[in-house]
Formats: sequence, structure tokens, C-alpha cells
Amino acid sequence: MADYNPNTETTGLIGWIDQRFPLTKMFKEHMSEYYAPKNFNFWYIFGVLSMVVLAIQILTGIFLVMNYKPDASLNSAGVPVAFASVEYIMREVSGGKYLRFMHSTGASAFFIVVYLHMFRGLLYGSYRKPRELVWIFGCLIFLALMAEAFMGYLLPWGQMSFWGAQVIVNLFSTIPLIGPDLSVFIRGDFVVGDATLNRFFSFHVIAVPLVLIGLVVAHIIALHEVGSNNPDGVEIKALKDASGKPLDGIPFHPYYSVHDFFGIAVFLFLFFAVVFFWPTGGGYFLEDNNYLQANSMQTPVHIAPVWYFTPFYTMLRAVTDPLRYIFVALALLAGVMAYLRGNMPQKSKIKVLAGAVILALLLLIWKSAFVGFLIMGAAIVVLFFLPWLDKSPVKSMRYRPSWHMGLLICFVINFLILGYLGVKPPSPVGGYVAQVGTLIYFGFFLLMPWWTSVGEFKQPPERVTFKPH
Amino acid sequence: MSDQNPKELNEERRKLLIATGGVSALGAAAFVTPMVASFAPSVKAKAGGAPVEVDIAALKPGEQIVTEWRGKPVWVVRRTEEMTAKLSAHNNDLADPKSEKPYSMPLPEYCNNEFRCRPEHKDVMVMVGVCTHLGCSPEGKFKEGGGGSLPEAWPGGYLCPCHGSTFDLAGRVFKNKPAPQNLDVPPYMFVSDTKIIIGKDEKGEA
Amino acid sequence: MRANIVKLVYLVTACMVAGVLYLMSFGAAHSTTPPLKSAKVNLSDKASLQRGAAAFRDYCFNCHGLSAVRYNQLTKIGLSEDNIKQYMLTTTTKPGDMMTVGMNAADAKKWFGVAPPDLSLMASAKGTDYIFSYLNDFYRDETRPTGWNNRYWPNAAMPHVLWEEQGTMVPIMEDKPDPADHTKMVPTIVGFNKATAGKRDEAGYEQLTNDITNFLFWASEPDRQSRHFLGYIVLAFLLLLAFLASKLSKNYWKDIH
Repeated sequence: MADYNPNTETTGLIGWIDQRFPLTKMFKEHMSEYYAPKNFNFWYIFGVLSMVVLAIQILTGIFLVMNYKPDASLNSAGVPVAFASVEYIMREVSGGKYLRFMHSTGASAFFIVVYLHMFRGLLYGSYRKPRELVWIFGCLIFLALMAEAFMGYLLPWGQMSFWGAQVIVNLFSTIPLIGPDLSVFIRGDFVVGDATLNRFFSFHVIAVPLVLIGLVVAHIIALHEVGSNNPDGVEIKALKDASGKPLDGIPFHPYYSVHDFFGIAVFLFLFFAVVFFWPTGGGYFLEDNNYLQANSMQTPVHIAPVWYFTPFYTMLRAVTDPLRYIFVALALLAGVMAYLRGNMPQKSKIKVLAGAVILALLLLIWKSAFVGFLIMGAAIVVLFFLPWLDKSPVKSMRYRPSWHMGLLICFVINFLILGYLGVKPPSPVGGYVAQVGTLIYFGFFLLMPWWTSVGEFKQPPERVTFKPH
Repeated sequence: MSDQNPKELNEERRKLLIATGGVSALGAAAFVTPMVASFAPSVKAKAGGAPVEVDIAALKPGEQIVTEWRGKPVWVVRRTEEMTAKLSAHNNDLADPKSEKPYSMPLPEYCNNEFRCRPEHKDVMVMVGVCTHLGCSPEGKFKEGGGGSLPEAWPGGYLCPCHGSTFDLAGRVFKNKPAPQNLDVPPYMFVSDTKIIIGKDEKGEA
Repeated sequence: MRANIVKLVYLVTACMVAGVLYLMSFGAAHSTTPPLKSAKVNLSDKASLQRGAAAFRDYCFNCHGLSAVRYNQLTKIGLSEDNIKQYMLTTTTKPGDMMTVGMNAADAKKWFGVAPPDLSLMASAKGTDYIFSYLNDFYRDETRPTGWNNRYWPNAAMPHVLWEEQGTMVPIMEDKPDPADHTKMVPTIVGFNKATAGKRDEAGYEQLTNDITNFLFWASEPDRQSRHFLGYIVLAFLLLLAFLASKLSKNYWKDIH
């Protein structure tokens, strides 16, 4: 702990605070003397936009909670109180409809922005050493965000709210031995009902937002500790001037505060265009079926999760017995390959082979519904391992063989296809495409140690590529 | 761009900072508007405060009907001729005999007379039954004469059980009591001789 | 070898895109519901909205509630408070009340098998084209308890409440390939004949159903138009802000070389 220092640079009120709280010190460290690479491009706006959307969700959420009632019971008109309270906000609370539309648009905007933010990471190797922890915090944020969105979606208590929750919570019942009891425990009842609504309300309003905020702070602190990556994948801290500042770095404030402000203004234009003119998003941001109140006696013809979950939902649905057997075979194959070709000590090789055999046996015993659930989880968990899967000698796609970018584009197209399939009802053709898509998704990541290390790489420059503007 | 001169650049920077700052402040205010507006009473709250109709056909002289308006008890009392006539007699015992200091709502102009009610129906008194001290609802003590905590020359009126404030049959507070002001008189009007509507008058809904 | 693997991945991706495109066209062609008719909704047409409100009161309000709308909100379609009192209120309702339906939900279930849904948000849930198509598609079907059926909501528990206006329609049947299995032929409705005339002719009935649809569209968001109006102002403002922000940013970045 530092001794009380009466001699700070600042004076007046700020000086008084600075002697007792590192205000100016933190501002310098994270804004005016935090050196960021000067060659950030379009892909670098999405982190800031994520924070903006988080702020919008929290602010609108605070005011929505003042008028929303988490109560599944029917009022005298036969309408669930929760559902009716949303219409009350839309029609009877001054400004209520704009708060609601901002919050619903914000939910979809959050995922658009976060997926693009993650894509930037894939483009430029932002998850590589020493930024692995930044990426891991980010993956945790992604997980928390999915939980937050899932629980928030139950609150309007429409048909999709109810049945989406019913289906997803029922997934837990596929877990061997403890599944059914676990589902009842999660729901607080035998079916999704008032108990579920109230606990999801608590999680959505306070528990998960606190976790999200904590993770975002950790994410940024971890980033600032090592400094930002850039489109060239060049470490700007490698070349410093006489005073210790990176040659290719510029103070975040004012250059990026002002640049990001412009990016935020453009984003807000698009955001409010949707809020005012297209809040339903063609049935993707506010689903048609959710304008019908929850009815436990009548399942909608087609239940699909909200668009941002669909790629993972497709993978869940894709796991039928044939695909499960393929995974069994792949697990065995991976174990055998690791034993024959891996460069590990003999003991480790045996452990890996044994692990692979056990995994293959379990996949064989477990039912496809449960394995599908595991695959869906694995699709998210595999992201955490990205820093260790990518063995490319250069970080950025710019200096990797062009077919690396080709594979990345195929991955993105595949991800979008998986998403599209998740919105549609199951079909034979769709089923096959989904299964191939699932294998491509996992292949992209799990084969990365191999494909990222081969090819003709270009030499990244010492200095970043930058055109003054 | 053509301006290379650092002085020009700084001048432009200053102007842009002010312009952008100003527009952003407007934007922030606009953003916050629906949040602040959502605090105002909603349509549902306002509907709950809608005017209330009261049928006084069966109301006999010396009797009172208690109804509710905006969550508060409202008394409609039909004074006898004697009660009405004697109203000015004890003006010296009242803290505010001319009703110059209203409590929570202004006295309607048509009630600015010695009866504190509409002169065409000077026997019908409408007032909000909430004590102006701390909000309890006083009890009716219409019988003349003293007894209990009431003075000898009690003309009839109301006694608040919480802290002993007393009011006459026009809702005016007696001197030296905890309550400082007369009872509120809400806007009201006669839709017919036997029906009044409370919370609405010629000027519209309250 | 590596190049071939990469080409294989490209090929597989292309096949998947093809598969998806096939699904997109495939899905549309095999729906068993006939294509939707277009409703002409127009929130500025107050006359239409008022006719729709009157028709709603006469034909729909006995069973279907509009419980998110208050009677006094009907001033937004141009009805005066007196109009509302005289034409829309019942003996027990006041202008500030919500438009809840008289029928008790438990009774409704007993009589119809299902409680008639509240219609406050039906236009948002199903779309105006659907509602319009639905109201125009009731036909005689002796096999149903109500005597009526509808291709847009097969075996609906709802009778054709507007039959006196439209008249009775009977289906013209022809054998057509089964959408689920093209090798089979099934009797399919290809059109309707009017068996008995109603109070209105075809154009008149279409206007009636369009008015009801328009009214329900209004009811799903009573002040939709003010949202659009505000939207133009907000977007113009944001355009200005983005322009200023761009100039400010460019000014600062002239420092960077």
C-alpha cells in the first residue's frame, strides 16, 4: 500500500481525490496513456459496441422491471399477468413501448455484435499468447450472455417463451441417472411454471448481470495488461521509442475515444432504425408466436430457439444414432492417431488412448438425445481451447496462406447454414446438411493443430501497415 | 484535407467538440426521456383515478354517504337546514374560516362561499375525509352538544381519533388543534338533482 | 494432398449451400395451406377502423376479448367519448375499463372445447394477411360440429359468425396430387360456389373483412403511427450526430502519421 502522497500533479478537487483514490492514475493507465495500435480497422469497433449494448440493456432493463410482473397466473381476463404486464408497458406506461423495443432489439444486437467481435479474434489471432486469458474471459462472457438471453426470453411468457424453456430444460432430463430429478430441480415444478418464471426473473435481473459486469471488467483488465492485438498481428510493444512508448501505438484517449464515438453513432443509427421501424425484425427479433400467451396445453407447430441460439441447436438436433456412431469412430481414431503419431512421452500416449476408448464407450452407451446435448455444450467449450489449438506461426490471416482464409470463410458459411437450419422445421435433407455441418464445425477446431501449421506463410512486417487518414 | 495549419486544426477541433458535445447532450436527454416518462402515472393509474358517480336520491338530511375517489374516502353529507344555517355562527372558533389556506387541492371557485359547496345545493357537502394533520380519517360526530372530548358548544362535525383534531360540518378545522388546514373539497358537479359526479366539473376531469 | 483436402472442404461447403437453397424453395412449395390473400391495412383510414370496430362489437366481441385495449382508447380511431359510451360500452362497463369479453373462459371451454383467444395481439401473432384470408375462407362442412371449416385453421372450433353477411360458400372439389406424397391423388378444394346469398356482395364482404382486419391491426398497437413519426426525427438526429462525430474524428486523426 502506497503512503499518503500530498504531492500529486493534479490540484483542486481532482487533486484531493487523487491523493485518496487513483482516479487520474487509472485514467492515464487505461485511457490517455494506454497505447493501442494505430492500425485498428472496422473489425475493432465491436468490443466497444458490446459495452454500449450492455449499457442499453441494463438501463432499459431497470425501467422495465418497474412495471413488469413475473407472475404466470391468469388475470380476470384469462391472460397471464406477466404477459399482460408486457402489454401494459407497451400501451399504458409513458415511453414504455420504446423501452421494450430497445430491450428486445438490444438482445439481438448484443449477439450480432458479439459474434462479429469473436470473428475479429479468429481473423487476427487475438486469442494467441499472451492474450489467452482475454479470450477465456470472453468465452465466459459468451456463456453468461447465452444464459442471460435464455432466461430473459421466458419473461414475456408467450408461447415461444414457454415452450422454448420447456424444451431446453427437458434437455437436462436426458442426463443419465440424475437427469429427470435435475430438471424438476431447475424448474421448481414438474413443468415450466410460475416457480420457473420467478427464479429466471431473479437470475436475469440481478445474478447474471452482476456476473456479466464482473467478467467484462476482468476481460478489459486482462486486455490492458498485455495490450491490444492488431490486424497485422504485430506486437507493437516490441519496438518502443526513447521514452518507452510503442512506436506504432497511439494513446487510446483521445484518438480511439473519438474514433469509437463515430462508430457508436453509426451503430446507434442502425439500432434505432430497427427500434422505430422494424422492431419485430421479420419475426426474428420478436417472434410472431410469442405474441400468443403461453398455453401449456397447446404446443406450437414449430418450436425453434431465438435466432442467435440456432447454430448450436442445430448441432444438438443433428445427433441421431448414425452421427453418434461417427463420433464414436472419430474418438477411437483420434486416440489411435495420438498414440501412433503424437509427440508425447509414452505414458501420456497411453493415457490419451485410454481416455479416447472410454469416451468412445460412453458415447456408445449414452442415448443420442444426451449425446446431442453434450455436443451442443462441446461446441461452445471447444472455443475455450482455441489459443492452444491454433498452431500457426503467424497470428493474422493477412500473412497466412490464402486457403486458411478460405477455410475460415467456409466455417462462417457453415455456421450461418447451421443457424438457418435451426430456424426451420426438421427435414430429411436438412438433417443430412446439419450432420455434415456439425462435423465441419468440430473439424475446423479440432484439426486446427494440423491445418494451421501447414502452408506458405508470409513474413509479417516489423511495423504495422497504416495509411494516414 | 486542405487545412494543414495546426492553428486552424485546433480551431476546427474546438468548434467540432462543442457542436458534437451539444448534439450528444441532446441525444442523451432524448435517450433518457422514455425512462423518466415511465415514472409518470400510467393510463391504468389515471383510469383508477377517474371520476366517481354517487346517487344521493336516498340521502336524507343529517345522513352521510362515504365513497372512494383516488384511493381516498370522500364524504357526501346532506346537512339539515339548521346545520347549514348555523355554519357561520362559530367562525371565531375556526383556524381558517374563509378557507384561504387549502390543504392538497385548491378550493373550487363554486365552493368559495360560507357553505363551502355549490350554492344551488347548499345542503349537500362534499369533502375528502382525510385529516390534514397526518392523514387519518375522522369520525362523524353529527350530534350537537358536548360529551367525551367534544366541547360544550359542539355544533356537530367530525373528530379525528388519532390526535383529536375537530372539523365542522363544512370540513373547516377548529382552532388549537393539531390539524392546520380545512378538509379538501374535490371538484364535483350535479349531473342531475339526485346524482353527483366527484372528480369532474365544468372545467373537465380533475 | 493438402490442396485436395482444402478443395474438398470448399466443395462440401458449396454442396451444403446448394442443399440449403433447395430447402428454401422446397419448403414453400409443399405447404398445405393455400397462399395468403393480401389485406389492405391503412391506419389513416379512420372510417375503415370505425366500421371495423362496429363489426368487431357485433360479431366478435361476444366470444373474443380485446383485453389490452381500453374503451376510451377508441378515441384514437376518431370516435368521440359520447360515441364510445353510446355504441361500444355495455351496461356494466365504463370508458376506462379494458375491453374484456363477457364469456367466461370455463364456459367457453365447455361449449367450444377451447377458450376463444383474446385478439389484442392476434394481428402481430398471425399477420394481417392471415386474418383477412381466414375471415374469407369459411365454407360449409357437414362433418364439423359447427357445420363450418376453414383451410387456414383446419377444424377450427369457431363457427362462421359472418355467414349472414357473406352467404354460404360450398367447396368445389377436384382430385389433385397429395402434397405429402405426389403419387397419390386426394380430393382438394379448388374454389368455392355461393350456395346462398348474404347481405353483402363479394366486394362488400371483402370490405367488411378488411375493415375488421384493419381494426385488429390497429388494436395490436394503437399508436403505431406515432412510433414511425418519432423514428424519422430520431434517425435524422443520429445522422447529424454521426456526421459531426466523423468530422471530429478525422480532425484528431490528422495528428497520426
